[in-house]
Amino acid sequence: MEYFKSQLDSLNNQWTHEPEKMMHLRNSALEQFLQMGLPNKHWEDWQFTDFSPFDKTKFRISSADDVKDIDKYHTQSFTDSFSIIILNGHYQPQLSHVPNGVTIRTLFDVFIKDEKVGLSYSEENPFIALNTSLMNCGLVVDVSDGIQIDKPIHYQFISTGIKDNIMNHPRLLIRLGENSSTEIIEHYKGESTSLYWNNCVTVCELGKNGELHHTRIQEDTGYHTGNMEYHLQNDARLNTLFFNSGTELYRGDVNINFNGQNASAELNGLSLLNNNQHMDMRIIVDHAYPHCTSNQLFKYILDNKSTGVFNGRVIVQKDSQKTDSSQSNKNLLLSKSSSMNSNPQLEIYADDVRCSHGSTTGQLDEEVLYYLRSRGIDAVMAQQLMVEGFAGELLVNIKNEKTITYLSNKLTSWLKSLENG
Amino acid sequence: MLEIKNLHVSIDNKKILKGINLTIISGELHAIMGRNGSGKSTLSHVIAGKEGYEIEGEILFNGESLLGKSPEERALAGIFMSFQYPVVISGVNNTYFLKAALNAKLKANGQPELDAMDFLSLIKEKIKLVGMDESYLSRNVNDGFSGGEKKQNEILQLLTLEPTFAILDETDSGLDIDALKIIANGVNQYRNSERGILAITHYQRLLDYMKPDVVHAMIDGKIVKTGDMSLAKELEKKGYSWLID
Repeated sequence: MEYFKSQLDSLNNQWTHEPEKMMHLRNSALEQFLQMGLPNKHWEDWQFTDFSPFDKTKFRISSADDVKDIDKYHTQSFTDSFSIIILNGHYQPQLSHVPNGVTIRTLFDVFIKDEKVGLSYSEENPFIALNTSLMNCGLVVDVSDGIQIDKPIHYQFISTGIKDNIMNHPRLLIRLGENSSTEIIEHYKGESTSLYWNNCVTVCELGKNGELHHTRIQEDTGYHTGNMEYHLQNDARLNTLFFNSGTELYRGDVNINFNGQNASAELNGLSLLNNNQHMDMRIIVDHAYPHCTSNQLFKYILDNKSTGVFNGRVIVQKDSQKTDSSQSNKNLLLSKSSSMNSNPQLEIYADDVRCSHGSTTGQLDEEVLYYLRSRGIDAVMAQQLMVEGFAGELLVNIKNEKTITYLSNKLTSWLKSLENG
Repeated sequence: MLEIKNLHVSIDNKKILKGINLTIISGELHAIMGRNGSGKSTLSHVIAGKEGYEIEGEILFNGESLLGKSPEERALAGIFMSFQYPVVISGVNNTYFLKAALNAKLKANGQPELDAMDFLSLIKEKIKLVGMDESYLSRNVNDGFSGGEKKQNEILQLLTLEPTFAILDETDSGLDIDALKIIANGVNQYRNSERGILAITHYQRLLDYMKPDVVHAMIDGKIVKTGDMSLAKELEKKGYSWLID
């Protein structure tokens, strides 16, 4: 754990222009992190994941030297979009552009102006405290009131071409004004040969009657810890998909906070796991206001010796009448040695609500496989059809069609990679 | 075209079929009638290639042994089975599924595969023949279909894939008289001198519309009597017990 301290020292030495209160925040967050330590199997909500790899590899925080000339190809979007580009943890304003009515500023800029900006960290999640301490790529995206953006904003966080074990602690704050609507694709990708780690915090604040379509595509090849926090005012509508593939070790925390009435959150997740990969998601939906809706559908597809964890909790507070909430976790085991740990929970303190939850884990239905094969479709293709069918309902809810195509192709090539061993 | 010789089949050491002999030549429609548990459906699945059976004897299709071939190899060789209980395939669109099946066949025959447009115009013609609405094409395979609609969907596949040999496993069960006519009509359109059909049923009524060339009575894993349509009528009237004595 000592290496985190030395990394903060090096950050403080590099970034001497930071205001003192920023340094103070970093130091106290680190203290909080060290006090908590990495989660272990005695921590109830973390018990199914081994976090010791984060201490075994001594990651170094990425520096300005890590931004190399990069092939433009890597920064191209798969869709017609506005873009925000980050290379090895460094924001590239010259490659980024956003529409009128949207501003991007670094957290540093916002901070020195003494604007109020939420940088709190919980005492329950050490990774958020660590992110606050070592934050090296902070961006604030503000969407003005009443703005409707017709193209998605594609945020690309690209990790590439570094030989050291680097880590990044990006913080992304998205503030959506009243009556505005936007689609954001938050995309992590990388093809580094050395192990890297991205420890991300994304906070989305949806103003009254705001609408956010948020697709988070996480295909880092290293380690990834992600904290996604949403705050919804009256009548706000949130539609998300969390797509995870490729990473060795993943922990994702999603927190939904209703801060007003009549708001709705559609939460979807698709995780593809192979080899020894491990993915762990915890979803907490806090219905603190009445008349809100939340629907969750999280699916995992696991092959080889991979392991998955789904831990979901819906809390309906005492006065949150007319809450309408569903929570479903469905998992497909493609091999006998893969395994899934699913734990959907409901805590209801109000009486006039409609809530459901459920979880299923199983293998491909042999009868269906036989039916398809009896029509001349070979076993590999039949399995592919069935898995695509299983995952398909998650993709159709995405607003942008090119994103659907991109993820469908990802799924198909992932399935092909299973065949080839 | 199909020759079954002294076929014995068991599951978990339980004998189901006890020496079946059956020869069906091109152009013929054979019906096998029997009570529940007589082994009719097992015979269908063994021909179609379902796994999990212990098999002795021979099944030849156009002179080649089917045993040891996978279900898809048998399908590509020209065998089709209409399922008694067609399965629901979640998330898989009916058109997409039918196109994948037809293209698998075309590919195996060295013919060019159909693109989405060409396939759609083909399938829109075929679906009229089984009296189904086009909306069934965009739904997931058998998802939310009634019993009759599932059977219509099986016949739609039969007419689209145009196999050389069709097994109809209780295709009439659970159908009302209108649906039965539609199904029989579909089968009659499929039928020609190049193709063989094996229809498995409890009841005579489907046979009234399809007019089999040969009727077999099956009891306890054996074909105990073979005749023509008059045997079907007799079985309907007298049941099966007279055959046991």
